[in-house]
Amino acid sequence: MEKLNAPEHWTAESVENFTYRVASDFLAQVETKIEEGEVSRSELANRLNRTVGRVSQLFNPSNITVNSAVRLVRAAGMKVALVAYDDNDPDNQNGPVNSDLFYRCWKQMGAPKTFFELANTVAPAGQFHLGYSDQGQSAANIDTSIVDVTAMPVNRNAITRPVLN
Amino acid sequence: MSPTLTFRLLTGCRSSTERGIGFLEGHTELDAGTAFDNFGGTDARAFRSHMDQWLDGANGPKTHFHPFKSDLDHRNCFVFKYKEHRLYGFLCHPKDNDRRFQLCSLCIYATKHEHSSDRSELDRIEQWGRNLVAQEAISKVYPPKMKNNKGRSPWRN
Repeated sequence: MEKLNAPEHWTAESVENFTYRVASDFLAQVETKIEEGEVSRSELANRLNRTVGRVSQLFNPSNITVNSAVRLVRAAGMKVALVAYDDNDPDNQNGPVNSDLFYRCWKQMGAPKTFFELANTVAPAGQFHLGYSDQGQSAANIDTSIVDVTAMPVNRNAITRPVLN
Repeated sequence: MSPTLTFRLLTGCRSSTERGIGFLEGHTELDAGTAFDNFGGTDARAFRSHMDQWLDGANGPKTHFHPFKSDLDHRNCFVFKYKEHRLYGFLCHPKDNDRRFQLCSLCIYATKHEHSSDRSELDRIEQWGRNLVAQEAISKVYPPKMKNNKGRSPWRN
């Protein structure tokens, strides 16, 4: 029969495995930007004052440090955040949450830059749900194209403010 | 082709109700599972990372994995990549009660140094995808609700 729940995710075996997965997700975000034509490897090389070969070495998840990650995304015209989170999986049965999910959620929330902007932002109706989902749904069959949503100011006394679960 | 094919689900990666990955085994040509099991260190981490990304619902980057949608002769084929290593397989929808569920059945391991994929390998993958014994092996892991005794494929590619 189908086994959906393996006893342990491979990143639970060692810190090195977990680190590699996080670095791989991060680099996938930059590689996607390159594939979408927003920046090229040669442009990155120019901006980093390195050869294309040396830049390719930066795309090895084993070589990534916070310092090199910052250099890389700044050269690509992006920024990076280290996000600590609690996904109710203390034993790491399911592995880390893909970093691009955090980015897409942030964009979907109107890309708030301060806690004040976040407090004044309402998620688009029907597109975003706060709190944990028990359904284990992934994004495979959901349109994951990023839609820029303008943050909508909300009257602080309005009764339609979202309720945090 | 061998009548004793088996299908083994990937373990230790992300659990998903939308996508799955496994290995078709039981024939000398079906070496993806053995190759994957023999990967160690960075190779294993890279493939598991790329598989997790696909299981999470990501559709790229192409340097990690991709289908061959624009190639009509091989539109069911799929590949996971790391450096020169390639794990080729086919995509199918084995759950008769959930047609959206996508399974990547990995079949063949290859090393590649040219830019384009070897079409003969993709041809073989397509053949394995249409192989009734292979479909039966997958159906044992994803049993159909009602048996199809009309000699048709129990699931569609």
